[in-house]
Amino acid sequence: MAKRPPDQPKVMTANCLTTGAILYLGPKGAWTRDFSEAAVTGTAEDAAALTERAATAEAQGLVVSAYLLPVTLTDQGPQPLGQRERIRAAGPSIDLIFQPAKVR
Amino acid sequence: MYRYDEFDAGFVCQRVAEFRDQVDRRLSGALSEEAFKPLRLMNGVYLQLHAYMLRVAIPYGTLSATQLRRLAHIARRYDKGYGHFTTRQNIQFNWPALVDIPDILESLAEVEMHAIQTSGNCIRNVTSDPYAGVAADEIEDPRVYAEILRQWSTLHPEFAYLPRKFKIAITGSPHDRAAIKVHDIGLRMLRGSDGQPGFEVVVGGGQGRTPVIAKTLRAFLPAGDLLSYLEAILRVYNLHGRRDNKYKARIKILVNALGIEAFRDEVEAEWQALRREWSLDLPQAEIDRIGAYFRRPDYPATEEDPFALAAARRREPDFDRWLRCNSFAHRQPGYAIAVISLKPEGGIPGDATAEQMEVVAELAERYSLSEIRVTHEQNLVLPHVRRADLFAVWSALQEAGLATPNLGLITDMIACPGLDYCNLANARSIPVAQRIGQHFADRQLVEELGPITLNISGCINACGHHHVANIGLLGVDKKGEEFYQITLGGRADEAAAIGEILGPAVPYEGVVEAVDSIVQTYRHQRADGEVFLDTLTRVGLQPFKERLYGHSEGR
Amino acid sequence: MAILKDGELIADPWVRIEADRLPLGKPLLLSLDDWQHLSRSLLHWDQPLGLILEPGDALESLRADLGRFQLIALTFPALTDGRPFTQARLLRRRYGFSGELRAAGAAQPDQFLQLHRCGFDTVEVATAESTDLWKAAVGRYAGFYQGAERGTWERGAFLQPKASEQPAAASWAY
Repeated sequence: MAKRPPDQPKVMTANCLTTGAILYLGPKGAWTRDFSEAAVTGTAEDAAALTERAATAEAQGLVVSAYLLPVTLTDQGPQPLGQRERIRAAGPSIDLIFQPAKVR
Repeated sequence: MYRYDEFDAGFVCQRVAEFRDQVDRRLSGALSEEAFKPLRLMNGVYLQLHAYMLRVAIPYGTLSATQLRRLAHIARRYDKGYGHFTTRQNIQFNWPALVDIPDILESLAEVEMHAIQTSGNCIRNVTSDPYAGVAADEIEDPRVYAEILRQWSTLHPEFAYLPRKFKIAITGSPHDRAAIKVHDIGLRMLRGSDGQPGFEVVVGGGQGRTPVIAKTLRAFLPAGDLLSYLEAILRVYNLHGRRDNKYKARIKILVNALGIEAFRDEVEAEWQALRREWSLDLPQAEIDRIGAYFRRPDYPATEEDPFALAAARRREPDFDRWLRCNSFAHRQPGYAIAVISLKPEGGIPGDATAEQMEVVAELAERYSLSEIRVTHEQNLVLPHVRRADLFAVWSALQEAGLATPNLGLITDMIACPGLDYCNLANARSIPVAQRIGQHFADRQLVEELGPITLNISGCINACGHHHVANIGLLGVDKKGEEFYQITLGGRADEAAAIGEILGPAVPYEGVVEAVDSIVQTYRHQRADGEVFLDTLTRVGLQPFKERLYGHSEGR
Repeated sequence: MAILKDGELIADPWVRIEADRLPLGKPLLLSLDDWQHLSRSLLHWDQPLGLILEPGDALESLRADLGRFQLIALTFPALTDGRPFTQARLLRRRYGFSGELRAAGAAQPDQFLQLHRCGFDTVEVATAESTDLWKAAVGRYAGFYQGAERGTWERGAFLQPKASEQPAAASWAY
């Protein structure tokens, strides 16, 4: 029988219900704005535990739109996979307000 | 401009109170997200990539200086100091907190603005010609009917849960500046044989994954029958539009499935039945009451000194270029329509900072009878500028970084927020627009290229109108990488057409080079007096394919 | 499921056919399919009859039968399915149905206002809090821009019903 591939590491994310801010679920069950403080799942059991916590937080009206996002483990720590999640974690890839001087 | 009376003002406040109650119930847990989502959308509130987004209606693109100042205030107080004007004459704030939105709406209501039906599967903000009432080529002012449509569609009890969103656009000029042929219903004002006003009604246009140019449903509809006829269309759509697949739920799919003749028969039968049940005609008293707000203003007399203007043009070549590119014929002698480009080279298409909004508001007060218009190309307009004031206006705009002379030129790009903000996007739009803008920073060259529309959408929903651009860029996701499909030959005016795919999508890093290749092909092939579309029509896609992809591909 | 009428919870006397047996002596609620199969055997039925319709059911073919029903329940399969609003207005105005119009299924409190304006009398609700929500919804606006089956309109008077076509007052109380 073929060996099961290792579980894809994941991070739980959501938006704050009242402000809309992006949040990540930390290892102690607190939500943080900082991707680098997020808990990374190693196993399917970890993922299930995060999913349950997130569901509770949604039911309590703390967060909205929670889901697990796949990450890759690097020397600099976990990094989100895919452009969408990279932009979500780091903010828009552009200056929010255009500064003409910078272009010229 | 239309002004609210007591009824309108009370109504909008009652709507704010209703939404405040819905937000309170969501925050208290009485409403689930599933139940709340359609309710917040119906009042313009999205949950986007980073935060909530609030879309505020600018009905048929008309704004007063007071209203624009209030938008600046909201940007500063509740957001991050800027706003984004959209392709449907709305403004979006990208960072409001849900808890603040009822207060924002209350603040908007004070200046006769709202976010009613700026999203959701209902009748959306009615859009129109940004030059309505001032264009030299106008047959009839569409704003009276646009306002009537706004009122009729607002909290319509029957059409709040349609199969999908529903967009109506109306124009009063033969040259279509409102893209009516890519709307669910497009209305073009005409005069009947007896001189009475009426409309050509086109239906089933739209973009998204199934782009369709609208078909004529009725060649002439007397103006008094407008609402009953639209009510009949909406009723047929509400009952028979598909609800099993959101990508097949727009009215264009129903029209195509039935065929335009069968669809017309359905609408006609419903209309005949409706007119037996309801008073048909728009009440003339109401047309007159609303019409009074749109009477031609008393333009202050103006003495144009052609020598002064000519001298300024000789002295300031930049002013001269701005005048050629950004000012348009006004129906009042001595006046001009001045367009403020929100597309500085390297900038974010459609964005304006709070400070810029205030500059424009002040200019409108001083030079444009306190009025501003918003275009679906994401620019602003000062609709009543005395020609004698054009130099002063330009100088102030220049100071504020708002005098980019590029209307209708390749750097006047439409771009959606794309993956930098939007939950639906597959790829970024803004940095692509910025790079293209920087590449085409030579204003003389850009003017020489002549009219070229270049639009960018970050996904197939096509908010960036790429289908109807001369050069369209559509962001797609290929295994986690951003690629851009290129279409050529689209246009959004009275001769609306959907662009054709040029060939394989190009990677993010190759977009500027690809656009440059298209422009070089055009310059090489261009005959005297041709604009981009003329050349493309004459030579076809092949030379563009050959230069971009090499001879082996695209055959 | 409780039934809300004019903002008050009321008892629901209506019963459905179970195990193919007609419950005697009670107001009977039928699906369109039931009605098509049983209409002949119900010719001398002495209790009120009600009909449950789905959003896709065509009303035109029922025109001749509508007089048999004291109640029509229009089904909302999902919060987002707006077809019953049109069905209700057609039943009221085009087909002259003056019995009880009921919203069945997934209609939500934030749709009470539309239900009311489109001519519904009663609505199936899940919770008792709905009574307050109904009263708030129906009383929230001073007027509207369109004519409707119910509710005031102050302005525009866009699409006003013709006087002769005003539906008769509900006569379904029994």
